[in-house]
Amino acid sequence: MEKYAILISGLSLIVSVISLIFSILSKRKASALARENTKLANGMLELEVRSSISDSTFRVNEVAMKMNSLIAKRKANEISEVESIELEALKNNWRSAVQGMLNAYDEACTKYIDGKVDKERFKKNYHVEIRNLLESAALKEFFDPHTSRYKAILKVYNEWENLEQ
Amino acid sequence: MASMTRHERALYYAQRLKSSQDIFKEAAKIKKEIDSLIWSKDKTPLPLKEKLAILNEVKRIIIHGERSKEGLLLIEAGDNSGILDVIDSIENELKQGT
Repeated sequence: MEKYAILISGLSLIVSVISLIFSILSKRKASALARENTKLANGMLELEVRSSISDSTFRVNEVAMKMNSLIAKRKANEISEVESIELEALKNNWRSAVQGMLNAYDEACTKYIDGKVDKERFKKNYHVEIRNLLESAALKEFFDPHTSRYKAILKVYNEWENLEQ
Repeated sequence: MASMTRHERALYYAQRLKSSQDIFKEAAKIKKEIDSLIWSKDKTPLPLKEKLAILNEVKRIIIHGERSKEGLLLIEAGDNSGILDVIDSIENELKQGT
């Protein structure tokens, strides 16, 4: 009878160990899956960021192309009254398009600051672009350290370029 | 061409074609745009030879890609210097009171 008791407790132990191993494996698998999902989510977010920047840049280019054509006509005194009105309207669209592009970069930088994207990859992809924005003479008015609405861009630029801070 | 080199413009068109859902419609739009291009220097229309050169460059970028030394696609890496030149050019025109 005692033999059976020892055998049963031995078997229970083996079953428990097997169960434990399965639990560990299952947890590992779940963690790996979670990591994969996080990577996938980060990847999706990074694509979203790039897509938003591309769309806003495309908009700037689109307005610029229309304006260039009308500006050339105005310079050659070949602009019609309707085209002249269109050019004035485009001047308003122009500022809004440029601000839209800066908003997209600012949103991207916010995601970087909040740690929602892979920091190393983000820096590799956007280092030059952010520096170009801040060092562009045409965009200088948007990046006054005291009045700028684009705080996230300024913060990221300072982090990457002013290492002593 | 307005503040973009041939290569930059070709890259811009290639990106648009790659991300377009209706490639035929986008190609037609690009063709129309290329047809209306003028030199920023003297505002004269581009000759046919230059227009064809842009299209060939677009084709080359789409077929062979635009690779950096590390073998990564530059299109993916992103470069905003072209659009910043465009912004600079328009801002200058606006400052001159156009």
